[in-house]
Amino acid sequence: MDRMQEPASAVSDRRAASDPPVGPVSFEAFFEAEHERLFRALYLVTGNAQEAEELMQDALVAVWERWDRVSAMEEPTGYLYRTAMNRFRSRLRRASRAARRTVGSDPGGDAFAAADERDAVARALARLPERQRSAIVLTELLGYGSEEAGRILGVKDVTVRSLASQARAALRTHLEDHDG
Amino acid sequence: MADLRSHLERIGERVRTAPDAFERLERARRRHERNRRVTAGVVALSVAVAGSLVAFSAFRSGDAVRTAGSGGSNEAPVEVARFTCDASGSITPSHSVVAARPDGVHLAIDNTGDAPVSFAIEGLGGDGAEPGEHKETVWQIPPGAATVSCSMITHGLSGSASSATLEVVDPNGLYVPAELGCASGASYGSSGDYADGTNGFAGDAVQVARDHVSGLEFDDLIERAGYPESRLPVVRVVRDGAIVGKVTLRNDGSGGWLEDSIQGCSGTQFGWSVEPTGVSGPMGQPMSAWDALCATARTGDESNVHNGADLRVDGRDAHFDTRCLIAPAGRPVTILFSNLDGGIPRNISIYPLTPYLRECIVTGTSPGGTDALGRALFSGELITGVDEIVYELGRFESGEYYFQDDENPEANGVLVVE
Repeated sequence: MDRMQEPASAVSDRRAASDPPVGPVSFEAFFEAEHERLFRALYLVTGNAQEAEELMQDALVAVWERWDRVSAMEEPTGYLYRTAMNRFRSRLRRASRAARRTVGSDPGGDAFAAADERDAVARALARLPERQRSAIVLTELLGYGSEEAGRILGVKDVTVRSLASQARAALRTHLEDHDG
Repeated sequence: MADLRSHLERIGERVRTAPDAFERLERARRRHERNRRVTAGVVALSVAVAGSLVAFSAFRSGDAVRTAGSGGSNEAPVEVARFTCDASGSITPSHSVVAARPDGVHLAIDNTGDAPVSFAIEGLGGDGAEPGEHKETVWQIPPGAATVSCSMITHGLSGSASSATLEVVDPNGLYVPAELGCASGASYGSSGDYADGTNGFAGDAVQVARDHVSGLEFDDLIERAGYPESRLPVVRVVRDGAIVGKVTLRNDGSGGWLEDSIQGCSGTQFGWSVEPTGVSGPMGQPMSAWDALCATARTGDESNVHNGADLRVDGRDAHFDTRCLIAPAGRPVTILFSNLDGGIPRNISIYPLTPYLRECIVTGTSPGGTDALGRALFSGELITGVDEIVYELGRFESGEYYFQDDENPEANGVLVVE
């Protein structure tokens, strides 16, 4: 089995770069530190810049409205990502229901692949199932450990490792096909 | 693949947030709040219109409505708002401003007449007082203006009503709004009806609501509302920033909580479930979609491996080859499970079926964690593919059960025992 390495160093990097100072911080400072990274992560997960921006706004508004409580949490960033991923899953569920009602509709129209025809990695990423894509973005790009990524995705840590492993294997296969 | 992270960063860098991202967020938040206020306004308007219609019909039927007192005065708030109902059926307030207390708003009625009186708080209900009685009661009146009315009861019938306006102030910010803000303006309600001696569920009222209210979604914020020490705790359900559900609980007399009433916005389907639902989801799937799941398992003959006492399930690409298994009731059931995903741990476990889990099966989605699952009725040993195992489930009673791969919960389905 292709066992994924825990990107511990990436976590340290991420925290060093974006951790708020000790004590309460303003929402504006939190927004400044987190929104760009969140937007990019959501773009990678959804494959669609517009959807990523909508999800980012939804999640940040939700956090802002509860900022008195969220700012007191140990890891407000984790809460932000959990909220964003929950919204994303809710949208998928709604899209799935709508797809059942609307014959011929394309619930997940993925602009990602179309926009990046020239990039083999982007194309390979776009072909991954949503859960695998989320797992690889959280662990590889954002540097979350499998346990925290599991909390964000609502699955066990071993599942995150499985999903990330499947994603890496699939990406490798796609890229080998492309190179070959 | 060693530079996967840099690949991802490079792709991510192709998009940037707008320079005015924070201003856009502020606008989004304002829109959100405005929508909430608009929906709340629609509800308030509906209540006002309904109140006006009631008053108008009372006027037309000959009941004189006399008003005493007025809100918005500068007088200091009192702890208990006192009213006198006299022999003529008139209501006289001693004060028109009352301060909310942790358990609600205290009203006292003095019946100085020689007949029973009924008094009512508009939109909340009422009570009665015998001749000469001084009665103090506690009401869950939100801050703002409220109307208290009084009428004499003669020969079992209410006579002419008079009303007084009361202003409730909440200087300590005790009250957490629980009024529904339904986008459509339409709502529904139900109340719990239990035989005497029915036991409720012990624990924190909010947690009890979380465990036993069906129709909840993962993103829902479920929190205590109303006044913090009200005798009947109120729990509100906030979805996408709007209050879409209100659950009132009552004590069973021995510390347990039971549903007193549930209100919800049209489009939700909140209910009370005796079985813990976990975080539940939308109910009422179209039966056709549900029935379709088992259409294949119900067809065929002895070769149908998804129907019978000895079942067979193949797992491939993190899914199962069926979402429906049918087994006979009261007979030992086995499943031969083949994990065809090389290097991936998988299993099959069985849980009680809830409305939310039905939704997950029909939509082919994961329940999103273990919160939505009840106690496992059978936990299958994990095997790493490629491998196979025979699970001995034992005997099951007739009914529908949920099965899933605990490591890849998008792989799930229904076990029908009949």
